Amino acid sequence: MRYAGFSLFPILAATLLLSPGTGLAASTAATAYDWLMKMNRATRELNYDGTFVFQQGQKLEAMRIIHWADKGSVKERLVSLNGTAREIIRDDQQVMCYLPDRKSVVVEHRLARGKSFPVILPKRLEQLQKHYEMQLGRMPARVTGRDTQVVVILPRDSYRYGYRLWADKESGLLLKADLIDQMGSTLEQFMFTQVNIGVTIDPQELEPDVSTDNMAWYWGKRIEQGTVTLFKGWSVGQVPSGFVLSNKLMRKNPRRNKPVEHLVYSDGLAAVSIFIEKFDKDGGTAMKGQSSMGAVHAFGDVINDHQITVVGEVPAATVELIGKSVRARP
Amino acid sequence: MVDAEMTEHISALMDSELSELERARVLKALARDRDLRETWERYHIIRAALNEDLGPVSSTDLGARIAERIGQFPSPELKGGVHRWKPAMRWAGNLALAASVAAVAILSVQWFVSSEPSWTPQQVASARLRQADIQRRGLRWDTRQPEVARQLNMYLVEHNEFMPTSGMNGVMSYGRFVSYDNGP
Repeated sequence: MRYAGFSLFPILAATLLLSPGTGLAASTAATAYDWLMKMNRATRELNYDGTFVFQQGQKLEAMRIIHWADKGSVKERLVSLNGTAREIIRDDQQVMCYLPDRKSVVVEHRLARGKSFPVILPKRLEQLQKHYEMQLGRMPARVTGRDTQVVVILPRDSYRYGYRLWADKESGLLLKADLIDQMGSTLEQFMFTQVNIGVTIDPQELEPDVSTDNMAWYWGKRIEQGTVTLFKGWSVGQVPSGFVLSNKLMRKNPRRNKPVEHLVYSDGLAAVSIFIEKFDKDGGTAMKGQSSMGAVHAFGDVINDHQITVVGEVPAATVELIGKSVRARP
Repeated sequence: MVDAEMTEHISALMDSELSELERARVLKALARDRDLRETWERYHIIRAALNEDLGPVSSTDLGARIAERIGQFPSPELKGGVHRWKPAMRWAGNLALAASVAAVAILSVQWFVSSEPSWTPQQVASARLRQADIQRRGLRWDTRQPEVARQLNMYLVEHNEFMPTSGMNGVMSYGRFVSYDNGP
C-alpha cells in the first residue's frame, strides 16, 4: 500500500478550488533572473544616497549609505547611525574600516580580479536553477514610497539561504531584502527607509567623518603567488552540490601580520571562504567548532598546527561540512 | 529537476486554473513523484513569501504567521492519518508548509507515501531552533573569546570582497560589521 494517502485526493482537489491565487507563475524564473541582473547593474551604475535599517531578531540598526558610481568605478561609504560612529569606505582598491571604539583603522586591499565591485554574475540561469527556485511577484508592492518588483529566491536544499528582494521598478535598485531559510522564515532584513537615486554625490561625502588622530592603522595585503609555499598541501574534501572553487589566494592578515591562504567557494549566489594560517601555539587563541553572528556562520579547527576557519553567509551545516573535510595532504 | 511543463501545471493547479481532468492528472503525478512534491512545497512557501509583501513591512516572522494561519484553519482531511504522527512531528510538519490547508494535506500525503520525506521533522524543528538562536544573540559572534571574535570579523571583511551578491548581501554584511555589537 505505497499510496496509502491516495484516498485524500478527492478532498484535496476540493480544497484546492478554494485556494487563493498563487501570484506566481512557473515561467517567471528567467524574468526573475533578469531582475537580478538589473539589480546588479543598478549597484554598479547608479549614484544613491539613503538611510537603511538592518534588522536581525530584536536588533535594529540604522545606517547611511552614500554610493557613487562612474564608468564601472564605484566608491561607497557606510556609516552607522546608532551607537559608535563606525564607518566603512570602500572603492575598487580597498576597504577601510574606521573603528573609533577600538581606536583603529583596518585597511584591506581588494584582491578580487577586476576593478569593479563583485557582481552577482551567477554562472548561468540553468545552473542557478539547480539549486534555487526563482519566482517573480505579480502583486504590486511599495517600499519607501516607490513601486517595486518582488523576486523570491528559495533554495532547493538546506545548504544555502534564500532571498526575498524588492527592486525599484524604475531603476532596479534593491530597496529591501529579506534573507530567508529553506522554510521561508525571515532571518534578517535590510530596507531603505529613505533614498535619493541618481543624485550628484559631493566627493566630500565619501570621506570619513571620524578623526583618525591617535588611531592605529592595520594594513592587509596580498602576497604574490609563489613567494610562500607554506600551505601548498591542503585539500578541501567536500562542498555542497553546486559550490565550486572561485578564488584562491594568499593574503597577509592585517592584525597578526601573517600569511593566510584564502579559498572561496561559490554556487553563484552564496559564497563560503576557507582561511588557513599557521597556528601560533604560544600566543594564539584557537577557534574550534561552530560560531555564528546572525545568519553568518563560521566553523574552526586546528589541523597539523594550522588554524582552519570557514566563514560564510550560509547555514551552520554548510560551514561545518566544508570545515570538517579540510585535510592536510601527507 | 522537474520539467517546465509540469511546473506550469503545478502553478496552474495552485491558481485553480486547471480543468478537472488536468487536475486529476497533476494530483496523480504529485502522489507519484517526490521531486514534484518538493516543487509544490516550495511554491507554497514562495507564495507565502510573496503574499506577505501585501502586509505591513515591519517585523516579519513568517514562521509565526504560518503557525497562526494553521491555528485559523483546522484541517479535517488530515484525520485519517494523524494517528501516525507523534504530536511534535505534526507540529513540525505543519510549520514546514502551511501556506494553505491544501498544502498541509499534500505534505501529509508525503508522510505516508514516502519513507524519506523531503524535510524530516527533526530538520524542520532544528531550523526553527536555529532561527530562535539567531534572534536571541543579536549582532555579535557567539564566542566568549574576544580574540576569536576579532579574527572572525577580519575574516568576514575579507570574505565579503568575494561575495557574488554584492547588491544585497554586500550591504548586509558590511552593515553587520559597522553595527557590530561590542556590548557585554
